[in-house]
Amino acid sequence: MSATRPPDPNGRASWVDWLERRINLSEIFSFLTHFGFVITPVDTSRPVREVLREVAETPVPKYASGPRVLGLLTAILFALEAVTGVLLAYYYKPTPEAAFESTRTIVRDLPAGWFLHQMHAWGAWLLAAVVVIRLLRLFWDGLYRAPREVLWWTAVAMVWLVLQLDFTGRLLTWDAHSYWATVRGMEVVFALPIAGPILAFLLGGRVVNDDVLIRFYALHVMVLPTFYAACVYFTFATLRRVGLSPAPEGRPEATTTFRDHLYTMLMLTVGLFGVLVTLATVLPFRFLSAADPYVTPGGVRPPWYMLAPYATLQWLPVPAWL
Amino acid sequence: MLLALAFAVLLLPQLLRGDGSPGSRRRIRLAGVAVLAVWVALSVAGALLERR
Repeated sequence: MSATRPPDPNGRASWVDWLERRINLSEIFSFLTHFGFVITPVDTSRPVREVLREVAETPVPKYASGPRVLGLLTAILFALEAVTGVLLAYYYKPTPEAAFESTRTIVRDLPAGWFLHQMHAWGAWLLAAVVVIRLLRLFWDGLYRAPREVLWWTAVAMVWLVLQLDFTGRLLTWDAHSYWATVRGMEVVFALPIAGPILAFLLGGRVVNDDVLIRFYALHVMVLPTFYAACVYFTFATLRRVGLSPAPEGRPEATTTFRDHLYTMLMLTVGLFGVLVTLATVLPFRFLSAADPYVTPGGVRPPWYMLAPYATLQWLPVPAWL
Repeated sequence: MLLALAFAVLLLPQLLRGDGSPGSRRRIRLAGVAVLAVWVALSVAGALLERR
């Protein structure tokens, strides 16, 4: 049921009014709140202008400050990754013959292509750092206890998904280093008891070839981001039910409004953008030559998050019966 | 071992249910730091490892 909106005293009709007669904008705004825009409950039966006015004035606990900001950063960084990833996908070709060349075309020939590529690569690195730090923070503060189990599970899932996104994404450039790092990583994965053979079956074999590349591409651009977006949704939907983590002991709970919250989000986004631009220009990731399955470059190791199991498996080989 | 560790992390809320005393929290934190230290040490070892 929708409420009747009072007529504009000036007799003018804006595009918001035009659109609102055709679609429930409050409902869309309410949906966006589940991705961290605001924590205030929204009455979807009222016009969007009223809702925004009310939300803008309603004091809510400040969740974009201190350690709480980590959750919001995971959403903002993911949005940056999604935007840069979609732009890169326009020119990327996921075949072993064309992957390296198309990546080189993006980096070398397209206007600002190198910039997008570096932003995407460094954004992934930062996202991995943020989700891991957030998980450690939740553990340290005991925020896995009831009624926050769902938050803990989504935080664990987000770490797993981001690392999978990183692992599947680094193969896509098909340069020598990324290819052999993936080969080393796959050796670790395939050595896992029970899960290893299942994953080998799902990926189409134990050799990193065109089958694996196309599966990694599908996982990287469709499957894993969808699950990650679902985790962001669950995180903020759970927060609306169980509330924010308690303020640090001895410190009063700070409050804010939607207007201030939007401003904070904007500042965070600008700050993150600045950090990424600096990293992309000062410390760019470099390419080697195209991958050659018969030539292993020196010093190749699996990605950083696989180094611990890599070392373990080197010293403690899995028994054959497993 | 790795799979067991992965599931243990996921099931932490169930494994540590109900005991929220300061002493218990300190012990849990200590255990977490110990696991992280082992993980970091293994990662460093993995980074220095030359493939046989």
